[in-house]
Amino acid sequence: MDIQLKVKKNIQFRASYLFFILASTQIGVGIMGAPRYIFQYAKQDSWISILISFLFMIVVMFAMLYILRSYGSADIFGIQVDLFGSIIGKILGTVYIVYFLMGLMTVLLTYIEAVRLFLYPTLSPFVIAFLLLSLAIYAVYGGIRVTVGVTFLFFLLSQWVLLLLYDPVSRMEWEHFLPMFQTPTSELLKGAKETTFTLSGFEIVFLLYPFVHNKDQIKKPIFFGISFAAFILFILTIISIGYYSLEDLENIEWSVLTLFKGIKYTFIERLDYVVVVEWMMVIIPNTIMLLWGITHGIKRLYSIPSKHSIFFISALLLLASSIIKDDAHISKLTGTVSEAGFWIVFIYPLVLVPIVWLKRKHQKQKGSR
Amino acid sequence: MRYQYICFILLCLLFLTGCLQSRQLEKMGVITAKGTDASENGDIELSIVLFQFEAQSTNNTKIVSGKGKTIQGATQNANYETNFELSSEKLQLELFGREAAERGIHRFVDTLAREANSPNTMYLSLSNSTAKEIMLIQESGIAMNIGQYLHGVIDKNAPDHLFPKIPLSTFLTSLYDVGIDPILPMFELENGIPKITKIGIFKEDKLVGEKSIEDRILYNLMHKKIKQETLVVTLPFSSFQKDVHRKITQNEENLSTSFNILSGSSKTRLKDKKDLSFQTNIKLELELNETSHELNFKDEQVIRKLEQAVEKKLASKYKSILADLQQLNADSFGYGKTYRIHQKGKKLTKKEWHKLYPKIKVDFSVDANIIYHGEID
Amino acid sequence: MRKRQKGSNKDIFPSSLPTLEQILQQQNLDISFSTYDLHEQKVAVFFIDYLTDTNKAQASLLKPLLAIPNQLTNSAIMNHIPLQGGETIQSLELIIEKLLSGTVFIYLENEKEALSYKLAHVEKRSPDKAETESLVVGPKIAFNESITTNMNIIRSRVQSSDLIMEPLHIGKTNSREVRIVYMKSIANDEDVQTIKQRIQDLDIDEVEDSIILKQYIEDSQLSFFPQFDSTELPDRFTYAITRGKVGVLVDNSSTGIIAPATLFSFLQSTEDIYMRWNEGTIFRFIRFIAVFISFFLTPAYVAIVTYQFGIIPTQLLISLGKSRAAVPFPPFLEAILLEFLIELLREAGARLPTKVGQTMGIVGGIVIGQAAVQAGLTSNILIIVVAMSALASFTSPNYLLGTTVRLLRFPLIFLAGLFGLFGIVFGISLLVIHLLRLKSLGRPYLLPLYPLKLKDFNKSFFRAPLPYEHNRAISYRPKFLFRFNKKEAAKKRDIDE
Repeated sequence: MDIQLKVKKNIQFRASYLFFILASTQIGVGIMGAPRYIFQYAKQDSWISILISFLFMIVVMFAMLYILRSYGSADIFGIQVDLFGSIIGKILGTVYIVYFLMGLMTVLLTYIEAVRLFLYPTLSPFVIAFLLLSLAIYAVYGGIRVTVGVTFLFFLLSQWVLLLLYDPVSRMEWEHFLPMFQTPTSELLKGAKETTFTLSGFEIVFLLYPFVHNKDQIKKPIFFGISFAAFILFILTIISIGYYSLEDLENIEWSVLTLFKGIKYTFIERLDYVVVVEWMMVIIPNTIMLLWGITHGIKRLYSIPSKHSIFFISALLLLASSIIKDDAHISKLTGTVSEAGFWIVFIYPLVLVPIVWLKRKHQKQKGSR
Repeated sequence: MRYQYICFILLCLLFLTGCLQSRQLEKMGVITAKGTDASENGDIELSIVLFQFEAQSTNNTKIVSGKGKTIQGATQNANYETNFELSSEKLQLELFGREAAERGIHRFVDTLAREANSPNTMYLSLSNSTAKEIMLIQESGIAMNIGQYLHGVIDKNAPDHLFPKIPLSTFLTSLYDVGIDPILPMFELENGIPKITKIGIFKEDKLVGEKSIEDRILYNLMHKKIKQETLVVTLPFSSFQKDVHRKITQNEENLSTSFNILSGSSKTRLKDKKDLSFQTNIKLELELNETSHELNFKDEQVIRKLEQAVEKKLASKYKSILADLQQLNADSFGYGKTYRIHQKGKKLTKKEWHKLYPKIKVDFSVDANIIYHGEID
Repeated sequence: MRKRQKGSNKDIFPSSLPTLEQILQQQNLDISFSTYDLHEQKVAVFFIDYLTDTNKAQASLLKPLLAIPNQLTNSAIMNHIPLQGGETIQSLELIIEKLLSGTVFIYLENEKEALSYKLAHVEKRSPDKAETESLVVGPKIAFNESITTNMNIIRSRVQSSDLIMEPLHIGKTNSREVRIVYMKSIANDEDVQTIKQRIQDLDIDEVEDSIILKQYIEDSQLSFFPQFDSTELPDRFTYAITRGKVGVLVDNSSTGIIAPATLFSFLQSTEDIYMRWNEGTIFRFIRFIAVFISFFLTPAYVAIVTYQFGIIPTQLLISLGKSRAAVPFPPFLEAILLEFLIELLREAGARLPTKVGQTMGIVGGIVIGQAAVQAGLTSNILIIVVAMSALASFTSPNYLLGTTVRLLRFPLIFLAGLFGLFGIVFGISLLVIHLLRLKSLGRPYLLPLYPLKLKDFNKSFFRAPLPYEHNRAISYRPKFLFRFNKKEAAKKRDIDE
């Protein structure tokens, strides 16, 4: 396996698209219920938790960039093989792929649950998963540029939903935020950890880096992408806290979706229906990006063509999503994946940095000798 | 090629499993309003107003009722009365009977909030007697669907977010929030026509008392900024005796005035935490519309006097309402919210607040400012 | 047949006139063959009557020929005949081919070669008003079936030596002239090369029309969407050419092909440029909205009435419910029925002569629509919905795209009937992904939206005031970007200075 990944110029994309990729992979299905999970620890000071985890994410981002930059044009699979040798590197790479796979599964399961709860209680999960996955396969088949295009366009197509929040904002009770700074730090950190669960997704940069055309301008779009996602979560949490009673928020599972249940205009009502289906446009970039990451990773590690693995992976997901229907199982799976994600996405890069640094130093000494 | 076969098989599977149960509009009984009553033995009695669309009939409205131990059960029971499938997707109004409200409506609103199918935009309201009585009213003056009618009565009588427009989401917030108790509009039959006559005062989820609808502006003022509302104040006539410009009525006791509130807002702060004393400042910008006696408005002093009289009258009104509310131990004005903000380090619970609430002292100061007094001096 | 003759008749020259006549008449081509005695020499003049401009042949060929005073030789004839392009031809094969394109031959008995003059007479109509794409403001002329006329129109619109009209031939049994039209100094070389390559690589017997050629050389054959623009308007054609696109003209076809195209270029009309910039921008937006409406409205009706009626406000719900109550079909069938009716009307209108077609429209639109509601076959709200989306689909300046949009509605109605709003969003997502995958001449179909070229937005979504349109669209990578120099920004002055 090559450590460096040579990518043809005609399939590379410009760094600025990373903004859209990150913004849409981070704002996924988790955000529909996220404020509640953050709130259960951090209470009315949840916004501080989000700020803390945002700062943490920036640190992780710099760590990731440092690792990637010291290799030039490698992805995480190549870097791991270089650092830990072929066998361990491949095992770690497989861990990444499995994490992506589980992540994709939770995305599908959670969205299917939302659709069934809000719209069609009788619609079989198999059908929803089939439709979503067929879209994803069709897009991924078009290659990385189409994949990026889908994330970009669907990001644009789904932003209008934010405008609907005008009505809940006008109903907010600002007193809910008072008294401020009441939550102890330990709880705030727990809230921050919950936030990172929702906002994971920017690890995709580890895979996409070789595909970026102008690698020197990568910092800005990544920063703004992460900030945008954090900002949206921030706003949604603020609105949720202001809109729902402080005693009630913990009990509302889909707090963000439920916000839309209270909106009504003279020409359209029941906006929660519209938002649930429109959320498909938020889910699809996620699905596509993860599916691409999985198949690309399998190709990198085991040289299995994406054309074949994509069908295998999709079949696996289809099977899983039609079997797992129980709400409790889904939350358990989501919890496990988030916990794993915290260590893989947020802690692991920080561990890698000193190793990469040592290795580089070692090489330099070797070189100078 | 092989993939194409697989895709084809999957597509077939899709159509086998994919058939959704359709919910065609014309096959549904679209519920617009629901009346909930509690009967003696703990049963729930629902009166449901719905639209159903039949080709043979011009009348689209139907009213059905059902009894059951649970709301779902009662709805099911009501469904036996109609050949349409009941759907609460367009529920606009929920009316609680007096008895049900007195026993507590937490159970009902919780079910409403839990149901993914029903909206959170529906208005909540009370009936002075039973909900059924109002729902079953057959009055020639109301040609339309009674649910639509009641919804319209609430909808047209208030600007957004203000009483009596209380949607489920707002009610839930004030129900669960510590330091405020909800209020709801109460319908009553007057000459056989339902009319909002009272404000139902809740302590937590139980109806404990009622106040006249006349004072609704005073309630609204405590919660939100208001504008373009009519304020009617009755003042003692004695102090304006010499300012009468032209005599209109013979009533020598009272001077009735009506104002248009151009803007009104209130601010409450905790003066002393230990002492439980609050200060509420209310600021009003008024436009004088109507007086029962024609006063000499050319004189600036008359207007100042009028302002002072209004201020005094409103402050005393607030004081008496608060005293009543304290008697009922219902914090409709939400003083607990202000108290909670100052409760640092420890969370205020509802129980604690209801213990403290009867003891609070509030200083009301009203600042009324008459800006215009009509086109004629 | 011809192949065998090729071998046997290769060396017929020199021959006597009767033999020649016999051989030619064997071809069954209605050759008019006349012989003259001039200065004791036998001369044959032969041509195909209906392919030749006989008047011209009489006046400029026969008359000078018969008036030649001295001994006849091929060179003497060429000197005396005032026509241009006299050629000598030896092989019979070539003679027959030339005869078919309207050439007159003069043959002196026992000479080794025959003289040929091209005096073709092609039946054509004179340039007419455009039929399928019409403009309110702007030139009215349209291409016709003659490639020379079309080239003439283009040349007269673009009088520049930069304009290249490169000839190519396609079709093995029925050869046709094709011209690749582009601006030498502006068009992207790669594009020109690609399109030339694609045409040359075609190994087919014949191409009936340019629209068929277009289908042969488009990037994706399976897609619903047209990937090359086609127009019968010379101004639209030259506008594209001067902006760096490549055009293709085919003989006997009144449609020109323009490539590369984007989805948005199909929704642009040259009228946008003839109008003022603000009007142009607004009309362009109306067209975008119209396409969306046409695509989305009927499926939305089906989805809402079948599954999510909660979305519509209560007041509307009542009237909708009342009109739906009498209809015995599910909304899906109801919508398909009515859409099918509209398609029938359109198809019938297109086939029938114009005057009858108009009557059809009235009968279909008003009488059938009204009757359908009264008979309880459809709800009257659906009539409005379907009529509106049909109307909207006709706003597309390109007929082909309008058809695409109308047809794509059917699968979307189907999805809406199956899955409600979820199906619609699924359908739209599928469409967006499909559009992202589409390419036109190797360039993304959704340019300048993806890949994002913000600088080109004023050329595809908006229409900037003309002084600001000093660049060509960078999306097509023209060789020369600047059209004219940007006006120097006037010094900023305060009011009343």
